[in-house]
Amino acid sequence: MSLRNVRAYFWENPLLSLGIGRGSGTPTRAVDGVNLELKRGETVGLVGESGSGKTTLGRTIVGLEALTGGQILYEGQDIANFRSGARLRRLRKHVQMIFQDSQASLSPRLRVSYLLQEPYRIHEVPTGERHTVADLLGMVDLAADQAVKFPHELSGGQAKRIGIARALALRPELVIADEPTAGLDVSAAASILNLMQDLQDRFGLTYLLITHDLNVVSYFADVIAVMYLGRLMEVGPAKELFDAPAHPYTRALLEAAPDPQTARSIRGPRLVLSGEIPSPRNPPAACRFHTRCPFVQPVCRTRDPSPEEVGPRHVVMCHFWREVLSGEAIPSSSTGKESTR
Amino acid sequence: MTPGPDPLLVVRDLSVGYMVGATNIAALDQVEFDIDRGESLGIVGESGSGKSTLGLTLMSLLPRNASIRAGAVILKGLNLRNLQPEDLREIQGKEVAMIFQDPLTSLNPTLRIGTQMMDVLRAHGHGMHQTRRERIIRALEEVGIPDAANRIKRFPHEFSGGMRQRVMIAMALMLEPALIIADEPTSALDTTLQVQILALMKRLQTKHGTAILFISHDLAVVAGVCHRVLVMYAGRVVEEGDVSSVLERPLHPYTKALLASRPSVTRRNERLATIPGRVQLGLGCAFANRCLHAQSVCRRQAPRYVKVERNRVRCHIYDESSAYHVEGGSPLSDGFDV
Repeated sequence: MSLRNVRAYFWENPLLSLGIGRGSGTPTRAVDGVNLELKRGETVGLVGESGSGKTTLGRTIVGLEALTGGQILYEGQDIANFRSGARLRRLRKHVQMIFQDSQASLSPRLRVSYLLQEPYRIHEVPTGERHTVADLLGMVDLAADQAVKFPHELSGGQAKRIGIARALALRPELVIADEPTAGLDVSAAASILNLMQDLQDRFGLTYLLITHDLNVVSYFADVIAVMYLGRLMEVGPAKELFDAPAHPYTRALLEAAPDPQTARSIRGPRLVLSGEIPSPRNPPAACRFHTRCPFVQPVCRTRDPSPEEVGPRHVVMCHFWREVLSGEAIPSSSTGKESTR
Repeated sequence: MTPGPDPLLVVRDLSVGYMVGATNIAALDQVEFDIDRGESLGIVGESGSGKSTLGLTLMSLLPRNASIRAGAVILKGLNLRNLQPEDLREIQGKEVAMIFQDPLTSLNPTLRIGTQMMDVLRAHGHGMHQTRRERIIRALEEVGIPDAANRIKRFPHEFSGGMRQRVMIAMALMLEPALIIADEPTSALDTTLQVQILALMKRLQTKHGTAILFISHDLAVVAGVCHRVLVMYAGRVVEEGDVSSVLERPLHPYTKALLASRPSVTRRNERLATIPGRVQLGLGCAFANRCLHAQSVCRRQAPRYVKVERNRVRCHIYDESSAYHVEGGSPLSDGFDV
């Protein structure tokens, strides 16, 4: 799948979001020009804080949000403006989503068995081509006796597994997983990540893994895309980003990920971002990150950086990425802070 | 044990149960620990371990169907079990304050922030309106909320998640309690905000000399803030020690498994260990059905809480007097691993 300059804006008047009529008023630019390639069989980790637009991007790809501009090419075809029910429905067989709040995504009045067969009913899949409920439960390591339960009778981990099983029912090629381990205990989260990786090996799935926690994507992402206020700050092979991040925001996210080993040796990260992510209704001028960047310089406030190549398939948007990479960049005391030990 | 001769909080043999119908469900079983003044102690456990119940017990906030079945909770020399409700209410908020996980649900959505904070001060009889107002503004500024004098007129939903949590911390600190219980204070926040809030808590702790009981499911988060940590499983404390020794040389098989199941940027390509099975209480050790090292004594007999160097662990492996058979070498040698 290729995302080309994808934009998703929200206006207060919902008609404007649908492209009807012209209006004044500032839209919320949740996704504001995203370029990204998803290669078959790969896992792309989309990381960023809440408010960065990553969930909106995921929802736009599956058609749950309207696209304001740009192209989404799936196997060469532009699916961006699939408005008609039939075309969108056909797409859903190939692109599915695992939702962040699993319990909320399962209708509370339906039993698991019905929920798992629902995709087949909606897409009118002939019985011979369906997986049985027991099959689907088995795919996610759940016993067949879970089929009679209602969602409220499931634990957090079980509900998550049902969400995964349902997403896989139609054998999609691309699965968008939104915060797959949110709300789960450490050991339950580990099981889910292992399961996702096993399913990927078994069915040749492509994942877009959306999360704010770099520890989660570190597990099996091939490519990392770092998103901030609707734009990608850095995209590149996971190994390169983890070992040598070129963007200050990537570095801050890495240092914020809780790790027993670094907590031991560093007792707190060296780079603490101050403040919170600004509202996407009013993003900062020029480089969007300049209000929180520990390395901010005057040019950052006046000129928007353009994407620059760091290496093959590795792109960054920062005026000073070379200095960040080499370690020459020194935090200025006004925005970023060095934590005291 | 590490705490000094005159600890702030002493908990001994604490057992708490919930009545569900006619059955008593044990949430805490023989919990024991001390906290010194100004110290931070972490409580780590997964859901069902009893860690939240522990926090609620210390805050005297247990629901009506729960009660302390046995044991003592002694704060500054006073046994909380022997106090009358009026006296307990005095202590609540004043000596012990609590910060909850989700500030959106613990702040009253229909009241302005200023009003809620004013309520806290009024309930504990502090001064006149003007001094209270100044106190509130100072507390908010201290936790990093800009333009505090105007922000007090706002409602909780007008604040972002990180800001709301700062408000909760300000409310907890206002009465200058000796102990703050923080129950998963950063679990609802992004990692970048988590780092800020933890740094703020450490700074405030140093400044005010407050003791902190930090409850979390994440050992790594606790590691960044606490001096010592307790690991809980199925209502019991299974390991206790200072943070670096528990992280570097975990003793209890559950602690080891917990550490091995965290995905981590620094250990990227290792397969995550998972803990098979679910919590199953029986006669013996609560972890026996999921432990790779379980022997028959583990299933028959509850392990004792024994001292191992400077730590304590509830496990037959380390109890020399137990029937557990250790093959080849001491359980502390490096070859012995999960």
